[in-house]
Amino acid sequence: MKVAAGSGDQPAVGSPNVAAADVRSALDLDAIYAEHAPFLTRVLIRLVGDGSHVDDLVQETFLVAHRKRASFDGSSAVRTWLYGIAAHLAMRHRRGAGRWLRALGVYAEQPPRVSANPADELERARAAHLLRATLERLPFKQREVVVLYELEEMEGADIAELLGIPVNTVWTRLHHGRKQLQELLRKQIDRSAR
Amino acid sequence: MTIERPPRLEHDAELGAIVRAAKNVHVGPERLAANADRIRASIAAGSSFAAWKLLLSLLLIGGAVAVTWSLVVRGEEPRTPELVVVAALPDAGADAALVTPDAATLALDAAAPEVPAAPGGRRPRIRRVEPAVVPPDAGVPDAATATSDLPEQIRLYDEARRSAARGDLSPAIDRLDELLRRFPTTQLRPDAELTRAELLARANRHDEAVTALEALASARAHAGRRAELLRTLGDLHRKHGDCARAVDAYTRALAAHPRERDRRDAESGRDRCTRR
Repeated sequence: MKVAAGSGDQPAVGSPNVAAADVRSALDLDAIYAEHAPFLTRVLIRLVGDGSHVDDLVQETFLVAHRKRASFDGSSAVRTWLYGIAAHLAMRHRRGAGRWLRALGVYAEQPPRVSANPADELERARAAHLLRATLERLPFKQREVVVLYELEEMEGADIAELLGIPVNTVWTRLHHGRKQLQELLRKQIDRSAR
Repeated sequence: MTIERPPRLEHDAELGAIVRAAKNVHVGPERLAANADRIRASIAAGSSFAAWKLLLSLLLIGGAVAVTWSLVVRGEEPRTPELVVVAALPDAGADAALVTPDAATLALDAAAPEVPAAPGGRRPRIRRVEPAVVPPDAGVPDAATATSDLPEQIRLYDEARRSAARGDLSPAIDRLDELLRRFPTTQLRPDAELTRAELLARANRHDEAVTALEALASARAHAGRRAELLRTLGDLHRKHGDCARAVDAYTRALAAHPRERDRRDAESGRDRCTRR
């Protein structure tokens, strides 16, 4: 899965400071995949819900990266570049077919009854399911910040770099996203308690 | 002005436990390896596809030149195929005939050479057949619109989605049925089929929804979603109070290599059924 002939002494592909030509020569897709695929897969699962569509998105992300490798100039980190592709595909996916199947799942599996303090494993699984379903109701830009901060435990500066936005924008999106998430979750818990 | 970093929700007294429960997402090495394999295969296929595209283009150009040349030489308009070859079967009755599948494209005319006899049987017959009767709404494009029927497909699909969004489920299902009937090879087919199944379920047309889901779960086009579809089918049966069929669907879902979420849902649904 070599994108371009890489040297044995490869520069760090995660560093934004590597010269563009060096970065391109270091674009060994195997290495990039090994380093970033777990993170991207996990984030995509959190963003669009798990299923075979996540695998499709991961594959498409790396195929797009392979096709567009010539345009990658190293001005951003490889992770930022890949995440940009993955997020774009995930957003497009939300407007496409995938949501219908999830909608079907939502119909068949109504939001589970859940308590604020899940005790056993089944309750924890239900709580996790509820949070993911609720996250999917947030606008994408808020959802991704909430996911990266609350679930991936990334710092604000890292999120800002990953998304290519100012740190204050991260906090603003997080503020609105969390507010909406908390309201939706509380409503669901109240409904379960009744 | 810099906004202060807010405390994470997992430390929140009210909702922290829910957030902590959702943190655990495991991506197994097998899954990563399978995706890497598919990426490699796609890249390799992409290289050979470029060569295929070139070859295909040459063939198409050659074919177009040959057809044009034959029309110029014969001075004829292209004709719609209207004859089929009916070859006699060696050991069958007079009425038994095998319509050769590609014969319809031969466009034989009255001066066509005689078709040789089938081995050990009667001489084959050539007979004229009437063109198939096409219903007026069958969507066969005329010359003006023959270039693309994609806009019509998209129109039907969009109408279905708009109707569904308004809550008019039956018209939405009708539009999708029309799309699938008129354009059976449409690229929107997978989406349309999934949407149709969803709408049937939402419209409480239980039997039709079950039939649709069963068909989708066994269709090659949806093989990657088989476990998800079967799990959904199980949910549908369970909601309908049919635990026996629900357990059967869940069991099939679990045997179809489900993703983590579907596995968990299928097991949970099956447990609920067995507890009843």
